[in-house]
Amino acid sequence: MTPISITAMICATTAIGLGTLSFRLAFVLLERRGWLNHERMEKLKWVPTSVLSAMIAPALVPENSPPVEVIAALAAATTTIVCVLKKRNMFVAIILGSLVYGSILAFFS
Amino acid sequence: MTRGSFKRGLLAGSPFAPAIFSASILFAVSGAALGLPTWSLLLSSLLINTGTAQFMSVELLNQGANWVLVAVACLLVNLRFAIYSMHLTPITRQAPLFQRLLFLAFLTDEAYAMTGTRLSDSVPKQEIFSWASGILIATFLPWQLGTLTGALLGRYLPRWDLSITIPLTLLTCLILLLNQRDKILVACVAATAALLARGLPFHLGLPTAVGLGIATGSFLEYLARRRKQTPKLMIQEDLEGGLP
Repeated sequence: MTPISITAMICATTAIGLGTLSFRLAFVLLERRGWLNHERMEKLKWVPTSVLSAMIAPALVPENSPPVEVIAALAAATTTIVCVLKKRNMFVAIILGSLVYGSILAFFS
Repeated sequence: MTRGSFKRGLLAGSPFAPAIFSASILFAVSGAALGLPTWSLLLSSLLINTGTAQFMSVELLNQGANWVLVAVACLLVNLRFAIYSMHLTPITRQAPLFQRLLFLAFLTDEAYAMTGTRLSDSVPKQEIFSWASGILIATFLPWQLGTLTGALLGRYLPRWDLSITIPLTLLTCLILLLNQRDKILVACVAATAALLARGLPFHLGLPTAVGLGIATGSFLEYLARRRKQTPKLMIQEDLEGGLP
């Protein structure tokens, strides 16, 4: 593995950190100045579902991953979903999902 | 801030802690393996505080990408925090300004998803804010501690692939949100779009998928509103037609 330039890492981290902080706080400051109105933003109710789904799908099935990994990820996701729907503890759901994923990969490799 | 609600929030967020802790260790171990010093990894966790952007920045820098491009790509992915901040306004608005800014500055995906399920609760918003703050602490601290543990003890830890834990953690949050048929459809559209659009440059796949999800939700809402209005109009026409 090639070592990453520390200067590049610090510059990138600072830029991402400050940029993200401004995203997080911008709305509060704009709203306090009366420039934005939350009540008009009804469409936002679809945001959490869309963002989470769009983040989970590519993370579960990474690009160019072998079929075994895809099957393992889908099995892990199914286990987690079933556990949550059966009102099990979320911790148990995540642990069981991870175990299923690890076991399938270990079995086929 | 009510102490009881805060404690309940801590308990509600605690199931996520082990998964977040292990994923954070993975980030620190992979960063340390690429020659990054401990302090730079801690700085990354403290300043950025989002797993997706942190993993992405290390991966892109490792591929030799310019830091400006890395920052732009990660900021596009982190744009969602502006929307999170807007969406949680009904809950955060009640809190004193400093607490509100602190809460939003360290907000995590998990805390947002859990808080989002209680937006329409009839409980006083101040209590929900305290509850959400508990979840935030339960999800923020493990990430910081995991980075420290991974950076310091990474070389002694067994090499397990823990990358699956974060998507599974987010999946548990998502399932809680899917309480309507329309939301399930929106989730399917956004997930499919994210898979199809991941080849787009600068990681534009995520914003595109989110946009399509919101558009689908808005369209479904429009159809539902029209369906409600149509029978009313028909009854009115029938009544008018029946008048002498």
